[in-house]
Amino acid sequence: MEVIYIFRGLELAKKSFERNRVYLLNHIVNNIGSIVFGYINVRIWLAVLGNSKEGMEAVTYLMVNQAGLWLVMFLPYGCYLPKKVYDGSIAYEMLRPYGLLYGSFFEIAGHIFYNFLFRSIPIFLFSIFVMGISLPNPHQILPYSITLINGILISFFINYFIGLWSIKFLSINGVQMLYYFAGTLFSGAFIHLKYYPDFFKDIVMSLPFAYTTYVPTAVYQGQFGLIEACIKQWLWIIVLFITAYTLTNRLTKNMAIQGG
Amino acid sequence: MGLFVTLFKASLKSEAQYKFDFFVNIIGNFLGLFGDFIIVVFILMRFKSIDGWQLHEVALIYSIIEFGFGVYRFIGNGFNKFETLILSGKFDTLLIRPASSLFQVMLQKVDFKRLGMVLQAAAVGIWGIQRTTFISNSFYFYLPFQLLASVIINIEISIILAAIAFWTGKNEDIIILGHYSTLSASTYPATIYHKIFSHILTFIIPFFAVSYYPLLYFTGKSQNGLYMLAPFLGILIMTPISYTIWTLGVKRYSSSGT
Repeated sequence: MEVIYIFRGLELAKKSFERNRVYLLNHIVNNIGSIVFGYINVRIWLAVLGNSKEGMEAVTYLMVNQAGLWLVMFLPYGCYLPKKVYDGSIAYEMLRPYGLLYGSFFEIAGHIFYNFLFRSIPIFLFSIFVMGISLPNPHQILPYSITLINGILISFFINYFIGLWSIKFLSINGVQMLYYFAGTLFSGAFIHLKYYPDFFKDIVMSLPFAYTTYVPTAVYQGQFGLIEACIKQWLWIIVLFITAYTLTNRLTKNMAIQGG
Repeated sequence: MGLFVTLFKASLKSEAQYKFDFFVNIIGNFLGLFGDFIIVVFILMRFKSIDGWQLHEVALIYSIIEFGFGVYRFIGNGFNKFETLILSGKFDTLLIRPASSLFQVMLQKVDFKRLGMVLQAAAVGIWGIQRTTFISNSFYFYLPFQLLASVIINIEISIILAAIAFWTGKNEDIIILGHYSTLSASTYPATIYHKIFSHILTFIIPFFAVSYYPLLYFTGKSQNGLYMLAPFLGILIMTPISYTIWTLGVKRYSSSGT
């Protein structure tokens, strides 16, 4: 039974992947936009740090983050839930033999796999060949991959909460903007946390956002230990999973009552 | 004008219907782009200046551009979502009405939650102005025109990018590249970029002409008084270009038989 469920999930992921492929050309344009954003950040940091070792470390940090943004920050709004609430297809989701959380996870997994191949990899390659960022130490590749996957899980749950918000309040624009604000400021995507004042760094490290972006990239650069990263990330994953599971049950129950 | 007021009232009523959501939307829009600025604050608290520009001066460059963007999203959000009109075929209904299609698209919906963006830009701007020394008080007379120019240039760029949807159907990603990324780039001094990139933002997508160049003069970093004319030159060139591209797009759409 469990195996059948996994296959169903993979089927969802595959469909989501194929839906994305239709818009490959759009995504190429989007990648250029993303590179421009990366270039802006890089120029700001080089303007203050100069072409020094610290400057080049900052460039590597920023561009590795930029490539990863499509896996850990820019996920489909509310994991597709707001769209389903808007067009009413959320009702059909309730009839499926698997839960909302499960279905959303695999849909997003397909989307992320697509983003990895067609967004992250091209931006990463561009960063290596044009911007001259450093490759990770071979020993860091596996730790980076593990912490990045953990980061993706954390990011999925945060985006899923935005989706749940749409079930309760219908519109997500405001909360999506709040998410961007928190992501920009607390994830460390656009600034290495070492440049934050200490008190602010402490606040940032007690929120989940830094574990999606800063921690994996710090592992990539050999500045953060794998064990510590994994323990903290998994604590967040467990807390967020329990919250997501509980909220889903509560909200979908209410929705069933509303639907009569 | 009557049409504008009617649409304005209708939008306000529809948005204020869900008060809590409206409140969250305003807060979200206030903070959404503010995160970028706070990062600049942290950078400049540590490094003091970027290419000779101090924090309060960068705040001014930022706020003039973001103010224009906020007002554009407030009154012209229809261009931002224009691809949905094309993809759904709803643009046809706009063509048969006795009002300009450009005007109708712009005022499809007055997006009140974007006032959060305008307020945020205004707050940063006021903070910056109080701390900046200008070469003359004439800056305070000049500023309203500069802000207006920022709104107009933002709207004109969005018209051009929206019109691309007449040819391509989808244009969301082109907007991210052509508007969002360039807007973000132009909130910092032009000298930090490669010359080609800063020329693009001066002559093709003229955000630097609106904010950076006039401030270069008014903060005493350049003696070239002609920089004061840059926003007006930008509008003078962009207006016919944006109008022509839009008209060509409408013609193409009409003749394709959809």
